[in-house]
Amino acid sequence: MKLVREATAGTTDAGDIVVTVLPGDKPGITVDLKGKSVVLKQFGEQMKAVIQKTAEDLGVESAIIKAQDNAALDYTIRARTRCAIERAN
Amino acid sequence: MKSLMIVNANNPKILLDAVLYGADGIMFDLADSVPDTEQDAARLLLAEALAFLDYSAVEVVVRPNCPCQKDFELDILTVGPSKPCDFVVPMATPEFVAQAAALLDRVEAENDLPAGGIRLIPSIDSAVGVENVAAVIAASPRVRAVMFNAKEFLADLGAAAVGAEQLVYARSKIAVACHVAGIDSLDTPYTGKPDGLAADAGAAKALGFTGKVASDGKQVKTINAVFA
Repeated sequence: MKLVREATAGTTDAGDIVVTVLPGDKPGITVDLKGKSVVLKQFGEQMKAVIQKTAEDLGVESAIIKAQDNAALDYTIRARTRCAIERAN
Repeated sequence: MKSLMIVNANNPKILLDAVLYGADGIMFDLADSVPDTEQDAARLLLAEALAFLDYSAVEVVVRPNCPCQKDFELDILTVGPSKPCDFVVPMATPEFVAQAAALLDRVEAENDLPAGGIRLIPSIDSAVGVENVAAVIAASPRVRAVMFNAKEFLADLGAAAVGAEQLVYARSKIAVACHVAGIDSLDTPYTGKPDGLAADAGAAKALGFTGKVASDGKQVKTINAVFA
């Protein structure tokens, strides 16, 4: 799936995550995750991996993905990432 | 099913907490609770939640948009593969029930799910719905219950809501048709002052209803007690 514009999905509510995707200027997917440091320290790498895999599974080859977490679980991260990518397509 | 609690399908925290209220069923709303601009987000979130979270202790019901809107088909095709127990059919007519059943035939065939496993709960929201309730039930063997929406029914009639007595005919007709068909009947959500809930639920039970829709978690305990 090719990204043609910037798009965002999700909210700042507790348990949610705001995911913004932009078309990348080079091949590959870059993930920039922000959130509470205690959460990121323990789960940050796993959360980034979920975002990365969701994008790859949708056939995204080049993207910059920025995410602002508010204690989202995996299913929410997947849903918001997919929604942002579909909106950017 | 005694209690069926409505929740907003686009809120991750609500999706996580919904099982804690003791409701027999949870109705995840993709329609009225979700703004038009978030329809896509809600569908995807609910599909992921149903596949990821443990809802095995409750009956999972999904309320899609009206079959008269384009989001209806997307709602069923996106969330159906996550195997909810039932889909509501808003503004139910025999045609809309058949349309929903045909979409579920497709979802089940494409995802190797048992044919006929996902059931339907038509929502009676209009005067013509009340008059045709038996035909709505007969429109598909998937129909496992009927729910009543008094607010929309009265709006269709052009009648202001004044009390339970004006609902006797519609409630009786729905409860009797469901009893004859051997399926559950779920009364309209109660939206008045909290201390009136037990009496409203009791009035529905007295006419033959088997349960009631809860508009929030605080109503579940009372509804379960009335229909126990």
